Amino acid sequence: MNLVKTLRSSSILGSIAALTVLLFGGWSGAVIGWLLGTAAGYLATHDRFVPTPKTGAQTGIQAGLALGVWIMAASLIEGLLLRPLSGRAAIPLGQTWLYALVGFGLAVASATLMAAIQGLANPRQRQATLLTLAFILIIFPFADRLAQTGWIATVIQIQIFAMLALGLNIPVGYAGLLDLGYAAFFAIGAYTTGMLSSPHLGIEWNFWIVIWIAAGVAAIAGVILGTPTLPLRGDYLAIVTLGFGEIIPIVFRNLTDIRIMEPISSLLATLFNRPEMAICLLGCEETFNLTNGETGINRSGDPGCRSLAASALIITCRGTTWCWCWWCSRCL
Amino acid sequence: MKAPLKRSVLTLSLLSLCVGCAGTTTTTTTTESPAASPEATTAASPADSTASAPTISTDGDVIIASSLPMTGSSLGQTQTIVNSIQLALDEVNSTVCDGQMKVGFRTFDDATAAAGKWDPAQVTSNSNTIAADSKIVAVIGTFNSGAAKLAVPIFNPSNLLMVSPANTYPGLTKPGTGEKNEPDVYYPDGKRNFARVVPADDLQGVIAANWSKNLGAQKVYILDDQELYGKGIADVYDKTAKEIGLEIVGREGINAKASDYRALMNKIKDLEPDLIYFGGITQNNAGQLIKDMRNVGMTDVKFMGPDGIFEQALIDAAGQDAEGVYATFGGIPPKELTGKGKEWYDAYKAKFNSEPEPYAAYGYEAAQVVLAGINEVCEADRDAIRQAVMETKDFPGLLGTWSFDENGDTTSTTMSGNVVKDGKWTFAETLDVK
Amino acid sequence: MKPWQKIVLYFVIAYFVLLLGPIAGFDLPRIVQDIIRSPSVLVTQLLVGLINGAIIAIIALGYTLVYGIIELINFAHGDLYMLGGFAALTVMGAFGMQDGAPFVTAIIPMLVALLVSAGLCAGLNVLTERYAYRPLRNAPRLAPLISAIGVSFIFQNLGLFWGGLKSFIPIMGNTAAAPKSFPDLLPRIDLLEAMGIQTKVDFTLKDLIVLVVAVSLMVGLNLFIQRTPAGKAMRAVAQNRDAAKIVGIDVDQVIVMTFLIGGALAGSAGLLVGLYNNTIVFTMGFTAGLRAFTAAVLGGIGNITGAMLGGVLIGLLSALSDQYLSSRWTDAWVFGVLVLILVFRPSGLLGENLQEKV
Repeated sequence: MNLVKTLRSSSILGSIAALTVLLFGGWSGAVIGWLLGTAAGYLATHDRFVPTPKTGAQTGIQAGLALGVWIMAASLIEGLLLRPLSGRAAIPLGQTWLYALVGFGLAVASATLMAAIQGLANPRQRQATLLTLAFILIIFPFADRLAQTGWIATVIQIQIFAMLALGLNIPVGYAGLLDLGYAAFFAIGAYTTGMLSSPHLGIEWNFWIVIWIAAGVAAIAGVILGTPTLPLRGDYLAIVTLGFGEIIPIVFRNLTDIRIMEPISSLLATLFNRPEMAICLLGCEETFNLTNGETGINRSGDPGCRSLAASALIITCRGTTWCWCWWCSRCL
Repeated sequence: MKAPLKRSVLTLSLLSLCVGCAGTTTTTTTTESPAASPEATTAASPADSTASAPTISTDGDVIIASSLPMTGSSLGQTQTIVNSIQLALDEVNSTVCDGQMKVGFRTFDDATAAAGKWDPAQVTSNSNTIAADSKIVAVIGTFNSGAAKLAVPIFNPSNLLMVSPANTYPGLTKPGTGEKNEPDVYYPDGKRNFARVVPADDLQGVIAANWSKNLGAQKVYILDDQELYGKGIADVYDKTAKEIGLEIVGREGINAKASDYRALMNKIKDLEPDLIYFGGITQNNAGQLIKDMRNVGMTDVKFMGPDGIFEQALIDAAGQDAEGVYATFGGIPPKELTGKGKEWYDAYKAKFNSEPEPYAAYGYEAAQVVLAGINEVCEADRDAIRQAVMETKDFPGLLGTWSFDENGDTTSTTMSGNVVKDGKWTFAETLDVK
Repeated sequence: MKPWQKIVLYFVIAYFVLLLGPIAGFDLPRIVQDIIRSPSVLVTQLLVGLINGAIIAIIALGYTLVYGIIELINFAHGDLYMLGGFAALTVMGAFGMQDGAPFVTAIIPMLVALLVSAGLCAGLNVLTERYAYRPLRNAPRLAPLISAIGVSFIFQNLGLFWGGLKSFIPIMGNTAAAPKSFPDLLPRIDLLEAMGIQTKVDFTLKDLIVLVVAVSLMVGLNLFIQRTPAGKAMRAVAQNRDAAKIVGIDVDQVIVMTFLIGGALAGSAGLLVGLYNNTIVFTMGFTAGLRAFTAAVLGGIGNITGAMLGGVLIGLLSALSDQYLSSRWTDAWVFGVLVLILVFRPSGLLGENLQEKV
């Protein structure tokens, strides 16, 4: 039973890992071994009673070994067969073995660790598991850079889409309101960020401040759209949100040459034929370019190093704590 | 407690699979004939069939990347640019520094099928990929000025040089021609990493306005596609036209996604212009504009556009209504080139057995200039190559001898006016800035 | 609310419309001046709006028919119409039609194209119903909707693929994703001028033919629904599916017929647009579908007269907006009006006040 289970779980994770290694080669085996090893360790122990960390580790080692074999095999195939056959530069045999063994080792080690954690007493087991996952999230970008796998851009895209899906789930899933214009709020948030954190309008606030404002503005837009459309039902609501979703991009694309004249004064100016009477409120000498049209606002605030360091400086360290200074020296 | 955790673990492992898939698609699009878009392969095939065994590898000691829209109707134009770059590489057998270094070439597609033209998100993600690959020492691209605006700042911090065969928006390099903070905003690190081998629109727009007057136009209606390039050149045209005494009867940005422009054209017809100037590219519905202009009965009103419509794709899109459409071009069309240019034209035709589109010459020129820069440095050092290319002086190019000025602009100013005759673009006259 | 409060409120609203309207092209003094300066262009624009509206209405009918029967927003309908355009273009290519071919020689190809594109779209629509919607008929409402969006993507990519078949169909041009030039076959003879009336109003034979075909399609459909037994069955199923079943109507057959008619209409609209705008592009289904859907909802979805009315209204609105407001804001105005109308009349202009069916 035990063996069957180990094999079954390893065949799914293992084939995923092997495929990844075959596609990317190099250190990708180590990264995927680390990630999937943790998963394998957890899956091997998740629905059975694990009395002590030691028994957990024993189960975990089995799962890790199974996964490690997949990775090692894939690494060797990639290095010795696939690479030369596809006409890329060959790598030395030692290097190939190094990739394979590190992948194998990391898979076994992380699976053992994760499984051993499952053997802890209850509150600590939970804490330790979450801690490990948090550790993976924090370390992943660095591991990704070190291993030169270049997955981080895709992972970020995945997370953004996951956030969008979670948000859409609230009106559609919980409330049952078919919202086809959800992306409009995405646009509103993005444009708010762009306007407030880019050189375009000369407001270059820190990303970590702007993100809350953007969330607030999008929420207000949601309320503004929501209030009048509340009486609508089913598909009529769908079409109104769809319409809203169409209007917003057009508005953002076209708010490039704004000039606002006070209507009563300009009416009087036309009547008396004295143009100087018209009061101009905005964009008088040169029309005001709010959204920069089709080109969009770019170089919007960067959530990365510089911005994080700057906000950390403002918020946390007036004096100098060494960690932030390490950040700052790295980035500024 | 355990169930949600199990789910998240499974999700994590699935995510890693997704990373795998996404990674694969990127690799396929970076290879020479993106299998993902059917037309790219079909269009490349005539070239492949006549070309000798492909000597260009996607890998090498140093790599040149191209970032061009290879999906949609731009392909006709961009494919010939890519062909030209390959021609330039073939001539040196893909090696530089007396055979010491191998040069690889990779094409990136910055367009999506859904957009039918360049796509900002695609440009950004490609640019990040390119910047992260330390073997890539120079980029030839982009085709659209709006795309350059996104790509250049991404390449700037890593000192990666971009030489454009086609970006003509002035603000990318010239201070005082565009927005107030241009062009410095594109170079956050202060160093210039963008050069272009075509004359910018602050010249082309002026020439277009002058030519309109010479063609006998008095009342002009100006349209633009609201993009950086199109609006930019329409602004220059607008300004010059007023200066030389043309009457501007109206100016409007079009909605490039509209299915027809009958109502807009009726509005214009009512204002009785004798020339319509369209600042924009073919891919922003220029064909439909021309069709509807004729549809509402403006048969003897002239239609003029910039180099963005100077391609076969416009004639494909507008059909018989394209007859008599004028376009300015920041150079001389391939057929009319002489001397070194003629040699290139013959070599191109012999190798690919097809007519090069106008920008092919600049693709070749850009590749030549980049190769010369690498040849000077002989190292995979981005910054040194950037500097070497930016300091190019008295380069013997296809259009004569030219240099890069301190902004990275070519000193060449020869331009041409062209007109559609019998379903083909034909050279009308040489235009020069006075 | 007291009357004076109401007046103040209206005043404030009007003030803000006048204040912010000019940003989106709503500059009242200029519009009035324009209308006074050249009234003939207003007539021309109304005609343009009417013809575009008629084409939108034909597509909208497909949405409304399907919605009336199974309460599904058939998102794939717009793309079906696009495929109709491609089918028509292919037929034109097979007959060797080119820009400016004599009208007389184009009559047979046009009739064949009408048959082929209507037939193809009808068939595709029935297949879609059978394999994408019928299995989900008792599923939660979101499921068939997502299925429809999926079908729409499939159709769009089918269009992209079709456009790339240049080695079989030379008329498809050089690149798959590029707009295809549809041969210009209907003569652009100005009718009023031909009759010897000198006006600035522009109404060509081309406009007339498209208008006549569109209107006769709509009249034909209306007669079918109102006068034939099959139409009666359709109305019955739309009113109450279960009751219809009880009185012996084969509901499945009626649904198939609905999709058949809707598809045929989409196909004919594809041909009409090809002949009228002379451009076919694989993305045109989305924009047109959106407008047509808007038209259907504006008129009250499920209501056939409403769909026609909505289509014409949207056509007129966008033509007038192109003329007097600003062409780049047109779509925003169209959808803005839609949102406003729905806020005040939650079931559209002619829609009956239905309670949501559970």
